[in-house]
Amino acid sequence: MITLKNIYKWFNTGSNRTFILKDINLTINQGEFLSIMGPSGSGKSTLLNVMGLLDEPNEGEYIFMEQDVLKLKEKQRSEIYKSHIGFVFQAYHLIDELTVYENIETPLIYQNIKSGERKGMVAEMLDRFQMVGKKDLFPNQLSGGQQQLVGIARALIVRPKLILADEPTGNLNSKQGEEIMDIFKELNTEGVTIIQVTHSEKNAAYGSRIIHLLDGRIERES
Amino acid sequence: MIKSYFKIAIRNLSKNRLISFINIFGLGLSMSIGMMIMVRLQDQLSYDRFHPHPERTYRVISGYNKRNGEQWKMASTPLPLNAALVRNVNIIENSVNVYPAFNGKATVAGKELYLEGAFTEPSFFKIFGFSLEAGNPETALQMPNTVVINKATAEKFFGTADPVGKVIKMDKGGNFIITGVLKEVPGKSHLNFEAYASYASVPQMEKDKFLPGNSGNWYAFNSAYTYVLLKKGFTPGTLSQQLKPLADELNRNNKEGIAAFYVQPINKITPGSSGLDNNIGSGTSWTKLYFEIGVALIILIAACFNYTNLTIARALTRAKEVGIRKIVGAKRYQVFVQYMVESVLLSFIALAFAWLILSFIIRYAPFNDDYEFIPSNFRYNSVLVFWSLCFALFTGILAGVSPAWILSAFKPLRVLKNLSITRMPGKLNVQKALIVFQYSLSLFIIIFLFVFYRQFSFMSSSDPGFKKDNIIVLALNGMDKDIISQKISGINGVKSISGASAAFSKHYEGMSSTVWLNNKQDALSLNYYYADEHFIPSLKFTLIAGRNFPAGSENINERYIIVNEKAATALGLRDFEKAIGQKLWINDSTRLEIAGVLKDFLYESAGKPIAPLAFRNKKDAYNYLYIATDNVDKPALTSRIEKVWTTSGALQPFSIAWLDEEINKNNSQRATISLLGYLAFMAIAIASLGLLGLVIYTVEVKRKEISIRKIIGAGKMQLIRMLSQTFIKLLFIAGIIAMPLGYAAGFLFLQGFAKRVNFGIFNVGLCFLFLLCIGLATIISQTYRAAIVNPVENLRTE
Repeated sequence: MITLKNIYKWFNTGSNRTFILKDINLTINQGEFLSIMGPSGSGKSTLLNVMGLLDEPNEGEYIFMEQDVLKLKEKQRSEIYKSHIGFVFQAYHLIDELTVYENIETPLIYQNIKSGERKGMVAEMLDRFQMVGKKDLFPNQLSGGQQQLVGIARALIVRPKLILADEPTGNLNSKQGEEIMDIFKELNTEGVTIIQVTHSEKNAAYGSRIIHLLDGRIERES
Repeated sequence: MIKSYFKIAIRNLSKNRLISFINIFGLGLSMSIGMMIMVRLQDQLSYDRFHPHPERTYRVISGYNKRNGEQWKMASTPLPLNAALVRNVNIIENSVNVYPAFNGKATVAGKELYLEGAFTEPSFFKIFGFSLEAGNPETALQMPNTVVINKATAEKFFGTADPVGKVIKMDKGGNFIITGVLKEVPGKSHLNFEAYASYASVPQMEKDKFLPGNSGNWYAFNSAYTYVLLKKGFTPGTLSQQLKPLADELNRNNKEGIAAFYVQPINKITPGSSGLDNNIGSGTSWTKLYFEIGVALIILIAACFNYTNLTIARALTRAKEVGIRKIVGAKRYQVFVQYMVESVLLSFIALAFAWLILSFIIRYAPFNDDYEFIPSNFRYNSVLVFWSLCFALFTGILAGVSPAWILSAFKPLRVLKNLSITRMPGKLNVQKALIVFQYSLSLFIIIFLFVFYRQFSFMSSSDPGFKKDNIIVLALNGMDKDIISQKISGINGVKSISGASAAFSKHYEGMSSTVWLNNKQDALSLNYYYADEHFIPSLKFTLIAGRNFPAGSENINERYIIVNEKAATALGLRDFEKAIGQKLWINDSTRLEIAGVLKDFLYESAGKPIAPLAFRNKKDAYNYLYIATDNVDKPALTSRIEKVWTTSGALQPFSIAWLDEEINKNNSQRATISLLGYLAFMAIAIASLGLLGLVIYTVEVKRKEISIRKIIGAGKMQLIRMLSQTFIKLLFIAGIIAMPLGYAAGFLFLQGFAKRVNFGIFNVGLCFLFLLCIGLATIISQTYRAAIVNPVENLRTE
């Protein structure tokens, strides 16, 4: 599904070149659950953003679903991530002005899905995460764990093939974190490819495969 | 999708109530100006819409190029043209000329009025939509020395009596029989003369030298106006072609220049083009309208610019939202449309606010006095509503397009990862310069307004030179003076009653005449009122020499005149005692003896120098009663007088005023002060909103810096000072620019007055202090909030 070949990313400070990603080679198959680990500044989030097409490497080749996405125009690239990738963030990034229901519905509106159809899809999602009773609340009325559930529901509503999660449990207590990880595990068994960045060994262990980054390189894989 | 845009927009507006209020307020204020201009524009475009065949009615206009290069284009035409049209042009159904020379003093049964009228023909009523309330339009203007008058003139002369058949004596032109009264027209027209006399009167009047001999003069291009009604199916182009031989004929006999005739559709006359000389009517020109539209647009753009600034400044707080929207799948245009919906919605709310303001302005007419800034005949109409909606849409787009464009361009990753480094595009210097400009302008207006206000309140409180308290001015409106005086004099609280021909007003509304002592060469123009023998004692005018009119003198032939100091001096009578008994010629026909000299008093607006004035004494010449009263309950007294008025069988309208209130109103320049005040208020509001936007933005950008400073020990005051400094500097720069300019303008303005109020540097400083306070309040409201925030909140980014 994803093939990264010789990916480099750097920025220049004066005459020095600082590498964030250095010669990354990685293949991820459909249905995998990959955890990316590493200390702060090792390039985890950058790698995730590159895979999510939110960021571009300076050098290298990236094949996403048999397409050389770096050769595509910005617009086509954003088309790809909008239809195939769901994002989950550490800080949830819900829209404060919208209710739970509307937050989940928003991606569908942007895909011009009819209102009747939208209703059904959102209802199904609310049902699945047992949030029907909270659908009219605003994000600030929810606990962190509940907000993250909404974030995941929003990511899932467009039925993505791939979910990218940047420290999804970073702001949660351990019990809430466990619940989120269980959901990821469950999604993975349903066939969704999941790539998560995490600091926690325990959460990483939910994955079928773990890579460790250090200073922009893949140090080891386990 | 639109529905969800609206929902979000409404939530956003109601969530940030203060910001929404500021935006709605600023936009609404500036839109109210735009709507006033729209009302004015609509009024100007409503001229001459009531004529029966607008598509076939044209005015012939003329052009004249002199050999030396001078060029004229005139709305007027020579008088003989009309007859020539009838003879030579076969495509016209009807034609008429309007010759505006029926002017001057008119007398009916001792009552004098100035009339502004024109000569015209019976076809006038066929071509135009005018009709008669009394009289027959077919014959009314057929015979020489007949005249039709408008309703207002009829009421002034005759009250409710039927004027038809009565005689008007014109000072220049003899007697005219009234054959009709014009119905009030169902709209406005550039033809708004008070009287139309028959054109058949002209030949004899020219023989009698009352009129110059223009009726046969082809080269008097400025004498008359010619209108034609084309036969059905003919175009103005054909008319132009047929007019050409007439002009050619003229040019054959004339070596000095080339004349030409053109045609102008009747509905294009008002608003006129400014290149056309001799235009008539109260309409304005497109040039002035464009200027007004321009001013309204500038104000609108200033307000929109503030909205734009404030929205972009706040964009940082909304950047996260844009980022998320884009990541969950929004395309740029979708984000763009969402922000446009928001600004358009806001502008519609502002429109509602503007309508509210406008409705008050229409109701209470604060900007109208002699000149009607808002036409008093304005009626709410759907056309105006429609255009105001378009206006709001336009405003919303204008204000919203740039923030929507910038917000929708945010790169999602950048805004989500690093909020604090997102910078507003463009340089802040532009914004700062704009703030300085806006504040300078506001300060300038405030200073000028302050001078203006102080000068006029000074003048209205100054002593006019006669007793103005407890005097009622009652318009007779054609009622018999003696009968009503007798009845009113019996009312409890009435001390004395006197009569005069005119009411004191802002601009002199009495008569004037040329007068001389012995030598006609030394003639001067003298204003005069008619007043009875009670007038001078009852209003306590000061006689410095001579005496009042003797009792009963008005019943015999007119014999006496009383002049003011200015008149006596202008006549060369410096020793006032010696002036008494001198005989004064008035218009060749009358010779009056000076009975007394009055100390000068203010009979017009106090701003004007006092001009020579006289009182004459003649029965039946009185239009107003001046009723001196005891110091009693005013409303009760006026209602008692009204009761007497109505029970005496009078059908005339009852109109009453208190002299002191009238004089104050004439001197206070209320309309101009209100308009200036409104502009000043708006200038300050817009400038402050602009400043607010800039401060909010700066504080937003420096949030992290503020927190860090606070953690390392900066105090509240130090932070406020650091954040406010730059902006306070801007205010002072504005002060340095505007104070000298405002002072200079005020100084120049005051030079126009004989008596002026003291206006020094101190007053200018006071104005600056006022504006500075507003500015400081604006700045500190934001910087204080930033300074007291808990630093931990801003530093916790992850």
